[in-house]
Amino acid sequence: MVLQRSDGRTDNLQLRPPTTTLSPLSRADGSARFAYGKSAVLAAVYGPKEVRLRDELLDSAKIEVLFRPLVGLSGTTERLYEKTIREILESVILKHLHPRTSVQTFEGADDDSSSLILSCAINATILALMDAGVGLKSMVASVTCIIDDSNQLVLDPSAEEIKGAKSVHVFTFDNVSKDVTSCVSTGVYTYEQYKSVFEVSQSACASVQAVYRQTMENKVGGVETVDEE
Amino acid sequence: MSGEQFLSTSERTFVVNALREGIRVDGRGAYEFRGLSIELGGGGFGSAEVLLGKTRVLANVSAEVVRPTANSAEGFVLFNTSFSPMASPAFEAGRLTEEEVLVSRMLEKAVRRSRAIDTEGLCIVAGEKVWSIRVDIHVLDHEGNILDCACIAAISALLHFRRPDVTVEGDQVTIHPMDERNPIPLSIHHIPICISFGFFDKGERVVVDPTHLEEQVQDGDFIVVVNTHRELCTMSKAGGAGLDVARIVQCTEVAAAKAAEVTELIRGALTKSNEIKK
Repeated sequence: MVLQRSDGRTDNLQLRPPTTTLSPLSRADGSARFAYGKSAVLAAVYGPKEVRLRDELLDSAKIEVLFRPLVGLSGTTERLYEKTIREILESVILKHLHPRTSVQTFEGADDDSSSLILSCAINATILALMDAGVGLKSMVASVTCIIDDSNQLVLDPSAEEIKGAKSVHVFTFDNVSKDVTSCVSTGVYTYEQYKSVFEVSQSACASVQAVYRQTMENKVGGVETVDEE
Repeated sequence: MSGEQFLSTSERTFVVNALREGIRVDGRGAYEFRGLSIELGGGGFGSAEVLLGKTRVLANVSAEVVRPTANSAEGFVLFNTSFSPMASPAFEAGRLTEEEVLVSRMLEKAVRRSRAIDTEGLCIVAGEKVWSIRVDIHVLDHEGNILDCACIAAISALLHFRRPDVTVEGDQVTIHPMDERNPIPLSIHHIPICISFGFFDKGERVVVDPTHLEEQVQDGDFIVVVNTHRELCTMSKAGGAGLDVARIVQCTEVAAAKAAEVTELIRGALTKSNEIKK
């Protein structure tokens, strides 16, 4: 049986080639846009810079994350995204190198919000941090996976596919230890399903990291945009 | 917080002295706009990303059905501006800057109060159901003249926007999904375009579309909102150096010419995005 997904892909485990743009903004210290299909996030990084007195940490940089939705004001979902991204960054940024400073990252959704936005936001932020030259321990990459209503595992779902999902998993992997950095799972799933999602996400993240590498190589080579479509 | 960086005296005198010799720091003529790029439909209907030089603004239009205030037969048009801290280190999350208030007020005056959008056409059932059109404006990069850029983004997004079709049969109101019936564009009477001027040397020298550097040095500003029919929609001269009346007339003439150019660009972008859809 030839499977046909709503956006024309023929395999449930097919990752759309992500689209990346490095340094689209001129004022920010570093910025990047990352998109899976039509879900896109623009991220900007300022720092290490002067820190607000009450946020000052004696032994490390303070990491601040702000996520803005495309429509309306930020609510609880955006707070959750901010918390998830901040926790990832806390473990990735070499923050002890910049005590008494702050590193601020801002993410803005460029398209309709679905769980996919979180993956895009994490990836865009990491690219923006690399663009800003902030020291990182490793490059983390994030993908989204769902278990659909017929218990099929679907990698990198579209917004329509997410709507009918039994469970949604946003996995973030490290490129050095290949271990999981963060995982946000919602819905009902079995241990076996979780295990298979884990393995699929792990290999998918490696290919996203290859895209990071390509993007950075293009920057160093003097060309600033990559369009992999 | 570090906020905006202060400008050194030598930078200030450099900008002003150059202008006295008729040169702008970025090499433009006094009445020349920066390059304008309008990208429509990146995020579906009613989304516009406008680049004016390096200033970048994203506008997104959305619609919902709401109950109107007391027996009114008019829909709503709401503007929500957010100066994301992404755009400049001077913007802080949750803190309203004076500039942000000014921009959102001017947009409101330019687009809503000039009656550019037919709010009566947004009525579904009088006193019961009307469309509320929401325009979210995100300032992504601040390199000067946010207002003009935001105004172009807002009006382009409104022109590009389509709302779902609605049928009313007796008490029954049906909102048709976009794939069932062709969505409907808003009825827009005219296209107001905002043109900002910056003044130097106590009003002696004038430039159009000031950059961030010029904005920090200028003695005063003057904002004209005008459409292609050469109708003035809004004018604003909020403090700063006094201006000669003849100067104001001259600026308005320039603004009318610039508005026509900008409108052409918006129309071009709209035709282009319609062709892609087909």
